[in-house]
Amino acid sequence: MPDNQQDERVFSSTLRKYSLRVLRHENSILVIVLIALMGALSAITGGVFFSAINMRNILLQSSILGVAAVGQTFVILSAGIDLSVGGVGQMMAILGAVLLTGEPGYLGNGGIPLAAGIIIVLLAGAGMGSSNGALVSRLNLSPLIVTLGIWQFAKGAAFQFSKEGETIHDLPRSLSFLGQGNIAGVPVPSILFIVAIVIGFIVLNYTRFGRSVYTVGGNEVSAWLSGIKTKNIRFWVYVISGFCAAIGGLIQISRIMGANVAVLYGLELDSIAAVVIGGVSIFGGKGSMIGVLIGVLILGVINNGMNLMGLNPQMKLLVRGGLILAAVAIDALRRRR
Amino acid sequence: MRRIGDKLDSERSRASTFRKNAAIIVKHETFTLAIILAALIAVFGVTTRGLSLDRTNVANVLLQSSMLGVAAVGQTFVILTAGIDLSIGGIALMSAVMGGSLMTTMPGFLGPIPMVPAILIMMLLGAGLGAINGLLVSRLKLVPLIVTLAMWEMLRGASYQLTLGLEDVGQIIQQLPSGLAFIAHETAGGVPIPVFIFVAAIVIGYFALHHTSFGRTVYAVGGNTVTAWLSGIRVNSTRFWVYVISGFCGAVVAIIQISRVMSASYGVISGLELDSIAAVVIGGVSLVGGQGSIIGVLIGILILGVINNGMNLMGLNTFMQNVVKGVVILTAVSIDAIRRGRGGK
Repeated sequence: MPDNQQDERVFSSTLRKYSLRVLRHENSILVIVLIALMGALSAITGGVFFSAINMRNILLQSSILGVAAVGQTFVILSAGIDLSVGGVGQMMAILGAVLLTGEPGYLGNGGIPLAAGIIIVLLAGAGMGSSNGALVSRLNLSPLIVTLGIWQFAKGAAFQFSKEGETIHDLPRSLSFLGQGNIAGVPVPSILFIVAIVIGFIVLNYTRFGRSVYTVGGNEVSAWLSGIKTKNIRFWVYVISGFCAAIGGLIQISRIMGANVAVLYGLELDSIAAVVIGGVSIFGGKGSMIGVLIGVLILGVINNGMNLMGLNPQMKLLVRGGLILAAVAIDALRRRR
Repeated sequence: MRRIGDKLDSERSRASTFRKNAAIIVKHETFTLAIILAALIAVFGVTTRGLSLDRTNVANVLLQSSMLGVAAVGQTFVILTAGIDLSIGGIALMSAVMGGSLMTTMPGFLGPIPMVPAILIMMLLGAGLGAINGLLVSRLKLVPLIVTLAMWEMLRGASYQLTLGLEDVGQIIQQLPSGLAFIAHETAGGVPIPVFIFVAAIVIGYFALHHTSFGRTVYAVGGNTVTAWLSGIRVNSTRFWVYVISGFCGAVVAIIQISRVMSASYGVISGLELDSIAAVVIGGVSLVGGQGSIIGVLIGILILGVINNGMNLMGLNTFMQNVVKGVVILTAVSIDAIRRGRGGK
């Protein structure tokens, strides 16, 4: 008998030790929040929320945000910020639509081949990102102002290219695979999202570049003194973000098979929200890709829930703003401890 | 016996005093800004073939600059403390919609209550929303960028809700008391009242910043928060009040705007935050705080107003206008960064 009791005690104390370690991990709070949200929403919507179709929907709808959030994570980790994501995404969406359809008359009839169009759009997105990066890292300008300016520029360019706001139709059928296709039953956008998260995770945690991003964000001077090329790091994170925005734009036009200036509205704010909710510190240097993944899912769940509850877009703005505030407040409190 | 040297001496001292004073004026950054303003007026005068110098147009520019100007004064206080207020447009929108809702006789809204109390409530609301910003920044030590960004979003959402009235879609709140038009449409001695409000804001702002201890604490906190703290300045209090000021200015802009259009809707205020930041940055106020003057901001407001007006008269479309504005802002920020010796963030 004493033996059994002894074993039990060891077992329960080990269990307690490990569960405390798990709970203390900062991401576990996020997971709990996520599960609690899902539970609440299931109750409110009377079970509609928790159906398999809805779950799949959430993953699908979060894909664009998810890819953009991956890019934004790199930027924020380096103590920067990218407010231009939505605008660049819009601009890339319109650019892609224009290139692929040859509308409205810039390129003659017909468009250019799908592969060429996609490559050009991706390069253009990286290009926009690089202008952000150059201005921030070379001229030492405030990322806020620079990306704010580029955001306005990109929005204006999108407006201009789209012939003053008309919708572009007739995108080639072959494009639809990107946004509407399936691979082994999983929607392509979701796959892109997962791939982006995985690549982001690997780069951040297992490459020298990724570790440098953390260091530069933590303390730029120390990073500089320890030989890291801080200018380059600060440059490339914006290129990554622009590239991700371009992917988002492509997914979007592929899903709705059209493009106008209303697409991807609010992407920058959503991506910042997802990243901050996911536990990445606004000051840089702290946070993880897993947290961002959960942040994206939380945002997706909330968006989906608000849709199911029939809230209007402005109400969603209200909730989103409140979320960002709450996330930053929690981040600040956590840092003080 | 007077020597030739005497005359030369006095001449020389007069000439050198003049040169000394001239050097001080020229090196003052505001002087450069004034030159830029004059140059812009000249350029647009030429490209619009004199249209921009027409008296009605000048009055128009002054009127439009008045609203931007009041907002920019508020924004100046915030940016001088190394903060930023991205929500000033949202605060103005919320105040405008609240004011409209309070004063209207349309069913489904909060009105009608008399005009004067409604306007007072608008101002209180603006100051109150600014106070929330201030609390979050000064007490919880949150980043001003994120806080005001989030508040901006929330206020946009909330204002829309307020315009719903009895319908499911946002309304244009009309049927406001006719006395309201007095503010934006009347003139006193040929000068529109909003211009007076603008000038008053500039004068009060200048006085507050340069001749009160509060103003000095604003500069100190922006320059170096730790040093300010160590020298006994209530840093939290200063950082709080600048946001209240900014919110209040937003409400004043809202009052002028709803008086101008005699209505209030979701779109009644737009672009205020970006333009006010642009005017302040162009005016030489450093984004990292502690440097800059209201006079510079005044010229910055006028520069922005002239550019906006000139581009409109030239028929440039929105895209080109945004591009030009973006370039102007980037140039101003770069010059600021270079002047500070590449030490900016």
